[in-house]
Amino acid sequence: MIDYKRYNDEELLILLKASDHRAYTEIYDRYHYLMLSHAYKKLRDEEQAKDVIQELFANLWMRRENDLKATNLAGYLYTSTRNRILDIFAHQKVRSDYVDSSLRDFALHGSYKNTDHLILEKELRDYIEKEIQALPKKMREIFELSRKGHYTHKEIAAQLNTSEHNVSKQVSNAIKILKKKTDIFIIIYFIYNSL
Amino acid sequence: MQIEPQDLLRKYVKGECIESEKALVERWYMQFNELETDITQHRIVELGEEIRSALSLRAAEVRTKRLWLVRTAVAAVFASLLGTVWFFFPDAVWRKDPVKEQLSSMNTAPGAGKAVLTTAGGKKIDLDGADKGVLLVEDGIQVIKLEDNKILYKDMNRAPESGAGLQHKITIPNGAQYQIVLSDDTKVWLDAATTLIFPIDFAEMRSLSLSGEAYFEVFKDKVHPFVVLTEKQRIEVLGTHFNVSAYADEKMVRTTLLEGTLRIMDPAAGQSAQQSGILLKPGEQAVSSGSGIRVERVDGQETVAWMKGEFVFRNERLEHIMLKVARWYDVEVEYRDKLTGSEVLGGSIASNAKLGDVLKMLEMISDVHFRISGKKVIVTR
Repeated sequence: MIDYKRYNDEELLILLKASDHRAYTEIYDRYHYLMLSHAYKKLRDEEQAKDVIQELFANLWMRRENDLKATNLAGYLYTSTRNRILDIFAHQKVRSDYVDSSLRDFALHGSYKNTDHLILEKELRDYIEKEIQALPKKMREIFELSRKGHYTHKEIAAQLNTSEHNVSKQVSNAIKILKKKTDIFIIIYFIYNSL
Repeated sequence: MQIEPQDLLRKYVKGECIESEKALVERWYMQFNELETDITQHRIVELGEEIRSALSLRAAEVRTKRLWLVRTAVAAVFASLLGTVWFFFPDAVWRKDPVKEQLSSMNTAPGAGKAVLTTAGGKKIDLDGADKGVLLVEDGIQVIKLEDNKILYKDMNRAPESGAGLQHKITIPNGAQYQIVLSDDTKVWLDAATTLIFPIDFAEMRSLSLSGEAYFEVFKDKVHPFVVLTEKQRIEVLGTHFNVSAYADEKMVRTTLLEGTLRIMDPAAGQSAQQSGILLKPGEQAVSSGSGIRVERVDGQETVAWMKGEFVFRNERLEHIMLKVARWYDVEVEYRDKLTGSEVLGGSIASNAKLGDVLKMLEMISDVHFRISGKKVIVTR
């Protein structure tokens, strides 16, 4: 049985797009705590935070085959959450005074001039990294394990031989998806992984 | 910069912000409310579990759906295994039930939807949605989509036994037509609402099952007889062009010979007599109603007009014509009034004509009225 905890984010995303439900579960295990604390921090409301994150993961599964264009998992999770929260801010009647004054204030005094996409992406990545580092130790470890690197070639071969039929079906599904894209990196990755 | 926060946020959500506004909102968001929160680790874990069970319920639904898919695939494999057994003992077995089962299972194919190829292993390919090019390589053959509505089977000649006994099934929905070239070079044109089950390898007998309508140009091969099975007729061919009309919702099966020779047999007839059936000559049509075969002289070209996109009918009752209309235009026909009198009508119209024009023409030559309502055609006096 392959331990999905050792797949990195990119691998999980590819498996998810191939409808691998275990990859989906692993993504949830890995990210729900981080996303819930982030959502609560911004919204300061347990119910709302729970709704936002539940919707986030429900959509992740529903859109896995067609709508999911993302190649960066953490980035996708964060921007989706941000968009949902900003939508809440834009429409809620109650606490908007606080949001309004904060935004108005930031517009007058904050630093936001640079509109370079790459810089904005880097800022998001740094932000996510900062949040991960701020997690309680136990939660942080989940991330560390998957970042250690790929399985060795031998480990993958051995595990594919004994794993469920499900796995090779995912690979062939993923290859079908790949046929529609021409990302050389992913193709090489898959040749490597299906050996 | 002076801004109206609610307006700006709404703009952002709608995707109407310019670059600088986007950068403003996103950076503000990042630093907003970043102070320590009052929620405990424990509470976050609890919320996480609540979400997990909410999502797992959905996950369970997905799982059952998948199981059903697996079960259906297994059933399809069994069905094709049955077909395989039948293939190896054609003469002894064809008159028995497996064939009827196979044919009646074909009749439940849905009328609407996509053209689907089902392989021996139960794999389904959406022919309409597929890109041009190689669709499949397995069991010693290649299946290629040459262009829209045209499929080619190529024998790879690698291992002569690899594809033996294996069948593919192609289902054409209402409103579509397809041309298939089989691996022995036989050409088959499939009309709307038609299902054809055929071998991918013609090593032994070339035997196909048909429900619907198809036109065949059979590659001449004296060594390997070509047989088409429908519910009411078994057709043996040597090298020939002929049309078979065998729709489940019609009472008769009609086979029209254009060129060559055909032998038509009634599959229900007992094994007692050395059944030789009826030998058709070009220009003749064999009509089977389930109780014997009748031969009529017809205009072969009219019978196959559907291939050229022409909708021809001669001395046909309105109900029968409407059956064709339903298939070609993928509509449902509803009769509000009982049609008295068996009106026979004759006429022709190009099939790329719109449904409205066809109905107008039918109104002119009969005394009924048609009304189109969504996907329904309503017939009144």
